[in-house]
Amino acid sequence: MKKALIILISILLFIITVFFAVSMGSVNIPLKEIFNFLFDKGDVINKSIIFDIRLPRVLIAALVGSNLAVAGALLQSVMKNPLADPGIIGVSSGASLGAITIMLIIPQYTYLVPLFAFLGGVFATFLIFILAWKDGIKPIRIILSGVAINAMLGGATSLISVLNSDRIQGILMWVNGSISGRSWNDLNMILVYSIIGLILSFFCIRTSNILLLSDEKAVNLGINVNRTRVLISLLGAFLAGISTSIVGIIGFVGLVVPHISRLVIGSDYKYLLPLSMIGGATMLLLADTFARIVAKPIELPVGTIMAVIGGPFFLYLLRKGEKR
Amino acid sequence: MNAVKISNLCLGYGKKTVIKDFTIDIEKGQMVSIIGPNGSGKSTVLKSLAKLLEPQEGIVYIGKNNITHMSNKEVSTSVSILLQHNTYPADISARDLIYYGRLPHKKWYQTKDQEDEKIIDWVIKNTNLEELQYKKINCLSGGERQRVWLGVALAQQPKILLLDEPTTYLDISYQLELLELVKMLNQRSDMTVVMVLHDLNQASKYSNRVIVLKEGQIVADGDPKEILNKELIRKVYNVESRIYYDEVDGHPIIIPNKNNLGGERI
Repeated sequence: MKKALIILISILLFIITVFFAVSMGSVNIPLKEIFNFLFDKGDVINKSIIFDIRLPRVLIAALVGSNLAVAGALLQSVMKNPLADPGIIGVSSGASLGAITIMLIIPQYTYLVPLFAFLGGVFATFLIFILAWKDGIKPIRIILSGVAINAMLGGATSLISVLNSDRIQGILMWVNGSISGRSWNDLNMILVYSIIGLILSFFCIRTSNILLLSDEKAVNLGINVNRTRVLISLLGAFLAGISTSIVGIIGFVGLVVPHISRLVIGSDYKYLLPLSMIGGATMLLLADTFARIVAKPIELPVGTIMAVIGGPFFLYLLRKGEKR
Repeated sequence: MNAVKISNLCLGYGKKTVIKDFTIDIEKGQMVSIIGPNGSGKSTVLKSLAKLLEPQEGIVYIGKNNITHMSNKEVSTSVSILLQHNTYPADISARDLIYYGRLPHKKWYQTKDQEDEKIIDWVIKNTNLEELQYKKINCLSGGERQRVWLGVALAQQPKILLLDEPTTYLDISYQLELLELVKMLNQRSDMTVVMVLHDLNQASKYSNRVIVLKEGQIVADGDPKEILNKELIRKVYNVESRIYYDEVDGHPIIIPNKNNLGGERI
């Protein structure tokens, strides 16, 4: 009951954050006016700012935040490792490589970007298991292989960027992880995939819980461990991949949000997953709003903001993990 | 009726073969101990009975079914194993962990129901966890935790219960409590028990059949009263011993007094 209340509160916080994010920006629009729009009244220019510019961006930030947080929570279960974040371990780099290959080399096939981002993410996940798996992934191994995979795939991305430097201007913000200038079209592209992925994640709750036990006991509780691990990893790569395909690499959401959620509501995925979903949306939305207003009129890439917040948090977790 | 039938089983890891040409039948309701020196393949055999290890050659039957052709879910409804090493989320309660033992019996869309609660209550009562059931597992002692894992295995309502060195981390009173509990369940419910034990005297006291392994081969197999003797202990462990017989039930008690390995013991 207490846990249901926590989730309810998190939903309220999310809704408040949405209103806050819509109202803040280079032009501040008071909340009262936003309520007016709901009843089809108010200033036309402000209405256009909200509906054409801010709302798609807010919704994309929320969806991407959910996707990344859930991807992190799922990967943490299958890798038996609380530090698994799509950005840190290289899944997002893989997705980025897949996406940038399409965007720069064959831009006429832009609609293939999500697919290739997904495949790139899957490829990176596959590499992690090969490099770091040894009856679970030890925290230090996942960091080391993440460094290697990020360097490798990042290098390939740079190579493609340099060779196609005439086209790089259009995607520069994307490379740093940014949600600015996203439209309803982008939202539509990610919306369907996100809903499918997030719904599928609810079917992983029971198995994610059991995968936290030893593999042998999981087998003896009737789980086909290898198949389940592959399927849940694919789902994690899918969620991270489609997000990366729209907004570029945004790290640490998948690390920070599930971790805080775990502290608040415990490690049972029945509650952890929904809370991460809402928490991820709230967190990235806050970070993006901050990115918009902190140095206005310049907009910072939200990926940079997340790195500044998430980096120290990550080091703290790493240190805490070593002590145990 | 055999609970388990193993024929010409070869087991190993990678290319290495640990168990060669292993053939036994285990009758329903038997309480069997597998003993032998370190590295003799005891735990390996046990794992193959829970499908944690696929045979390199040979067949394991659970009841009438070839285990290789059974799904993990089918195996886990009739065989449960208490492992030596376990991992768990730190904040799960004993009762919630024991509930996981019910999952093999449930379809993916089914949730906890009245019958599960009844079975969990029964398990908690029998494993003596009533006081501790709502505590988080990392607040429990090693012995209490071992009882919780036994509870998980019992909640699976197995026909065959496998125990891999169940007493290793326990102090002597918990060791006895656990073995007495298993023996009681075995007598009361006809559940077949196969356990790997290090302590020869526990094997002698608590089982009606002992299988002695050395280097992956069966050296002796039978009633502990008939097969446990000085010659066997010398042959298997390279240890000289004296044997006494218990006044109450006549099970052999082995007192090792000297090893024959040569060299100084430090």
